[in-house]
Amino acid sequence: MTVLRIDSLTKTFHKVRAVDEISLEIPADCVFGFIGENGAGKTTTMRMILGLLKPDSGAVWVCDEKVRFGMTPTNRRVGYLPDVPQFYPFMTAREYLRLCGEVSGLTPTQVKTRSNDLLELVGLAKTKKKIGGYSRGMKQRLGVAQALVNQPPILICDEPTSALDPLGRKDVLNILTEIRGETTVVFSTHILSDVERICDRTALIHQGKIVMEGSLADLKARHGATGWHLEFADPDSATSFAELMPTLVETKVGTEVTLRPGDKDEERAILRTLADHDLVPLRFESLAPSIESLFLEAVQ
Amino acid sequence: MKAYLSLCHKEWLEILRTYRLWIMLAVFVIIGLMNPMAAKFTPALLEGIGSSGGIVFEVPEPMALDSWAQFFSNTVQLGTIALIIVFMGLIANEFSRGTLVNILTKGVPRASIILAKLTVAIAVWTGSYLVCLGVTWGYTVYFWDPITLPHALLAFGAIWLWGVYLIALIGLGGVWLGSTTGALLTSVVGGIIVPLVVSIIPQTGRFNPISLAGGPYALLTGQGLPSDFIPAVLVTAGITLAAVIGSILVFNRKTI
Repeated sequence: MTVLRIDSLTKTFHKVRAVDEISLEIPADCVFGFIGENGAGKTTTMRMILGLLKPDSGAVWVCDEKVRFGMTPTNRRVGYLPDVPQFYPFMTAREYLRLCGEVSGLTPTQVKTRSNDLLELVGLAKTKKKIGGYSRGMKQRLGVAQALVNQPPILICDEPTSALDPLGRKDVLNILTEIRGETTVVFSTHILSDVERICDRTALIHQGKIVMEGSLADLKARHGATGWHLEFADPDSATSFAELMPTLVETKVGTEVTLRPGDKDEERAILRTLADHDLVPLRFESLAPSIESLFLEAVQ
Repeated sequence: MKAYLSLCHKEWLEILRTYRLWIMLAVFVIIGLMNPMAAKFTPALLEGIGSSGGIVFEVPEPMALDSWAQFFSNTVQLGTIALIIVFMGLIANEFSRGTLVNILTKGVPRASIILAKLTVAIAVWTGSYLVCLGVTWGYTVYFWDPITLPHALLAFGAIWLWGVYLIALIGLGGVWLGSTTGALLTSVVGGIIVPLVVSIIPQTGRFNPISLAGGPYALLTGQGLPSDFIPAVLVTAGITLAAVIGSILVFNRKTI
């Protein structure tokens, strides 16, 4: 089932095409990484999905309902976490979630249950102080909670980790991983390691256009060969191993051997050969293409 | 409706916890006290100054009406300043701080945000104004014998409408230009200075909102008639309504 469909979306600011004929279909229950450098058009696209910005042309459907600029009933199915979420500093987290729950149409009982669950999820259940005294990481976690208050089928996060320290990033990524399965997460970022860590599918946006799209595994398979890199303690072990697997060895330099197995059987054969001949490598590393290399390949 | 009530509650919390409610009440209690006090003690004060300097001031005996004259003058002048300072960020602050994004992305009808803000601001203005009126009335009755005030409802209601008119214009400027400068532009320039300039033409007086700020006392003294005053009340009410509708229409088309 498709939860979000974007059809030929275009937006121009002062003669610059920020978003250029973008079309996308995002299936339910996946974590979708929307990757692009700063200024690529990620935020502009997200703002059009949320009806906060009027597209020049094209359309967006959220759960088969068309998004209209300004009047946004479709937002009842979407949770949104801005890159730097802003809150009312005079409220506590619980009061803020109550406001968000009530304006989303939840009943008082639902508001209470959801607030408790979400504050527990984001680790703010014990905090009594007003939001004005929160750190950036706490605000980002509260941002996730407010976005999920009405259990939306889609959660859109605009660079949720880019302004955080490593600990804050880890917290937010963990939360996004935890909600996988309940909510489709659309997640824009320029931090590629975050995408590798939590996304199932991804689209690369460059100068307003989508240059690559698909599941992470497919993209890696399509764009670059996979392989294994082994390092042994001494050159003799490396040589013996290379001689045992001549068809798979791509290179052998000193103590290091690179192999390109064609399928899973050949990968298993590597492990069997090592075990049968009592060869223990110091390092056994996958040579799958990184998202970074895919990104660089796509934008060049 | 539910979203509107929740947003009203949020506005109420904001005005309470940012101390703006207390500032408004304090200012209007002070104005309320000043009116009868100034009417009662200014003549005595002037006599005191006069006798020490050898000058004789011919000051008539103060009356209850003098207290009400002070009420209209002080509420309009000091009250207007306080009202504009307290509420100039009413909508503009939400734009400059970016706090509307989370709320709007919950699918809230935009009109309910504007209406909740205006409702609470008008409620606070109404409360402060009634407190001011009550304090002045209490001390006026205490210092002088009670008197009958002709057309009191129209006269006092006009000042209340003047406050509502300014709040609506502050809202319009805040939404339209997204800044406190915008709010000041529509309220101070559009709501006060332009009508003042227009009032140079005598024929416009009957319809000019500025008459609400300067005219009500004449109704109490019998120098003014309601029929001369009502067109300005209707025009002001019309501008207020147009500003509210305009704010909603502008907000519905605004990029956030």
